[in-house]
Amino acid sequence: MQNTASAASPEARLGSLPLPLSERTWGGWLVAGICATAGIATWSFVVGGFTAYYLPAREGTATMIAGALIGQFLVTLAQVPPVAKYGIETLASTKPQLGIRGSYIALIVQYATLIGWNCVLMIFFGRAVASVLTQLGAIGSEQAHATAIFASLTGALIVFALVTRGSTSLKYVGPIVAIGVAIIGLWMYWVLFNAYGLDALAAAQPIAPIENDRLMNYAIGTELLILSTLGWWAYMGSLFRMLNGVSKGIVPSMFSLGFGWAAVGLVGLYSALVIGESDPTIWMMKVAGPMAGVVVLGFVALANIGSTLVGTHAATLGIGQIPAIAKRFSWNTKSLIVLMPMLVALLFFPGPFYDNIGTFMAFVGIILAPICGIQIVDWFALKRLDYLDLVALYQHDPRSRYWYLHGFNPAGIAALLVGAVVYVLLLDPVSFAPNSPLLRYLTASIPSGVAGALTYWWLMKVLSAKN
Amino acid sequence: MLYTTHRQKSWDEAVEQNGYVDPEIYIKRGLEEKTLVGEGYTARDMWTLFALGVVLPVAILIWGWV
Repeated sequence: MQNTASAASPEARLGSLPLPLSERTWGGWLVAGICATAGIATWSFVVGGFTAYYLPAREGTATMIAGALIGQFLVTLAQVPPVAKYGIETLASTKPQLGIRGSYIALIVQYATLIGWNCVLMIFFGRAVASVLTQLGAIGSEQAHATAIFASLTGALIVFALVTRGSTSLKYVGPIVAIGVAIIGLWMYWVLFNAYGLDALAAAQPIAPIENDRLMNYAIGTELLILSTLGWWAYMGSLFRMLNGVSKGIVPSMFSLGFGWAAVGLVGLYSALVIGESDPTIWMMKVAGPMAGVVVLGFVALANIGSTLVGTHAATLGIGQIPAIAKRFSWNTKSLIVLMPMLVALLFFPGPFYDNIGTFMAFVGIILAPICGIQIVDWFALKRLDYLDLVALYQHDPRSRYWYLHGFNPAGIAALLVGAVVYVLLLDPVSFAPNSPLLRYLTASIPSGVAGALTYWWLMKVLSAKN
Repeated sequence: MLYTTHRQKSWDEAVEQNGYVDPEIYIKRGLEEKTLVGEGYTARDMWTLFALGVVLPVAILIWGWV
């Protein structure tokens, strides 16, 4: 890691090393704003629209909010205690559970989650720009594809320019984006309710629910939000290691990130139910006129670029855990390395990437619940949070107490596999079709997390007794 | 400035000629000077989290179902 002489941000000076207490300057309100920036993006509307396939308004509202709170509870327990207490980022927090080399599994999951979703958001942003310009008559439909790519790349370059300033840009961008998306989000609610009314919303039927199985639809709706919310695990180190007191992170995490992204997603649920369209850049123009589309485009720009900024920041911190990268590259260069695959995807194959993102993310998602379960057990049941060996986290050789077996903790790896298998036994992660009738009582993420947690706890006890 | 004069010595020891910060030196000094480790969750924090993450969503799910 290069220590740039004129660096202003902690990342430029320290990279992915633990932040000293004096550098953790974010209070609860600032973290809440940055959490809202990270959480609220067009993915909220996508998830809301997907929920509308299974559930009507009241049940969908309940499952979206409850599922988000449950998922965020697991993520908060797994991540906020270690990152806020020790100033470390997400990947470093997985080394006690997975081993020094095993943590690269977590790096792959984190990187895939962050960059996968970043690509989706930038593609969405580009398509939104092209859609609005086409509907306004500014461009012809034959120019839409090129316009979308150009807009996506522009958004990615804006993100790069911001992320080079490290957490400083999060500090200034976060509150602005949070206020902007909150205002526009509330306006979208008003437009929708004003145009259609609560009665029409309450009467609207789901698009394609599972026949004659209300409980299964309810469980799938809940699972959708739990699984989606678990994706915030990848962001937590970036968001909370700057916090100046671990207690101050609870409400921002649960409300700003957990509840916040679901609350915006409800707009997607309601619009899909009454209009048949969850994308606000399309339905807002039809309902409220062309200028409404421009305003919503502003929302999409703020929200998607803000979320992509936080995701890129987190991914850059993550790859800084690789010693060869930490030693050789500056923060700016690492940011570029992180963004490069995204730029390639945006330029050369945005369509195929976007069409297959669900499959890609599903296989990433089945690891997230067991990762959270394993970390929660490690910190609180095995009580290893208070005895975290900070030096050992950065020793990439057998001297580290987290070296275990050739750099891998067998207990952690086995627990991940068990959790992933349990998930797939209950729910097909690609099609979201139930694989077991037990899904209606258990969901899939919760038993997956519990199975991973119990497996890890038992194996750690066995292996500790052996040693 | 990241460190006081005393701490600047620690920082200088950790930073090698090419600007690379040796993690072990940096962390060991930080632990000695108690500049790296903060507080953990209190019992009240855990109960707050339990209320927001378990009790509240279960109540919401019951509301949505009935």
